Amino acid sequence: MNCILNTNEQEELLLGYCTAILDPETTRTYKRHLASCEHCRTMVELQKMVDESLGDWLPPTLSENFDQKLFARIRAEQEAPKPWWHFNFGWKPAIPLALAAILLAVFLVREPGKSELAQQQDGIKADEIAEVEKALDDMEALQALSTADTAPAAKESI
Amino acid sequence: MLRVREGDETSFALLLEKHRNSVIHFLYRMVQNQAIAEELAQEVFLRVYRSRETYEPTAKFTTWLFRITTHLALNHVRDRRKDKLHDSIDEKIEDGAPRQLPTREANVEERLLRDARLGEVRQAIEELPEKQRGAVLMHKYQDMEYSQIAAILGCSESAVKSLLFRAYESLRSSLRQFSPGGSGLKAS
Repeated sequence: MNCILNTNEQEELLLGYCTAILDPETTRTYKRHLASCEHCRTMVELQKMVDESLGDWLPPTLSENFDQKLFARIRAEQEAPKPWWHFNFGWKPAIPLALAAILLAVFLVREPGKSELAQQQDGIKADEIAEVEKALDDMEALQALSTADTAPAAKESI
Repeated sequence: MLRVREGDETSFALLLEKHRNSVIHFLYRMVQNQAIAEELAQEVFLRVYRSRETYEPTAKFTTWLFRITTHLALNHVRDRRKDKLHDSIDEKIEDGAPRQLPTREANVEERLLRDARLGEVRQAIEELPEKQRGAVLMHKYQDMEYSQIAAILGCSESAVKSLLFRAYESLRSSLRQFSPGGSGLKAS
């Protein structure tokens, strides 16, 4: 009584046949198979019984006030005061805002380090300026000395 | 749903009218309790309403709707499975509505037989793992294709086929006793 089809093939053809979704060619092929396979014929019979029983399972009628209750709940939600952090934007901006806050905190924590570097650079510039000024003073002093040396010689020549 | 997104309240009422029953019926068969099914359905449509401003039509609306519905149903079934000990078959049937059968059956014996088979199938559905249960209900009652069920459950089509094959095999086993051939046959 073993079927030549594997389990998956059996199931797929069985369901397809019982729900009438197989194409005509496959349906004909399967019907020929059913004619010679008692196992699959039994499966078809059982599947049709399952389908019939499931079809008999009718749901109860809906409560008359279903829609009323739903709209009342919607109204209640709309009228309820929103929490201070909601701002009609919901929760979605919370994550990028939190990330921005973290980045800002990191930036602020690192700020003193950057000013120290700037201060170091400022100190270097101040030293350079002082050296330049000293050099200029030295040059003026040398110039003054050289002028004093040459002045009496000029008088003697006249 | 796009009109609802733009603030059209009337469209939400139309949407509710169109999809309310299919959602509730699915939930009822998942949890087998009408009151709970309606409560869950309320939550489904509340979530639809809350999400209206961010809704994007990237898939069929029913896929999105049933994704929410199935998510709530699966959560409820899992929570209930943890809490409950043993419920009797009678209690389960009592939790639902009175059993209804199509009025075409006049023969009492046939009606009793169908009633018994229905009870077996409902019990078998109740015992299915929740994903198998959801897949069968969507396949049978919503006429959904494998691809849509896969999108709702968040799995592949082959996984959906596997869920359905196993589920239907369990359901067929539960009804073997009613077949004219008896209960001795097993699947190969």
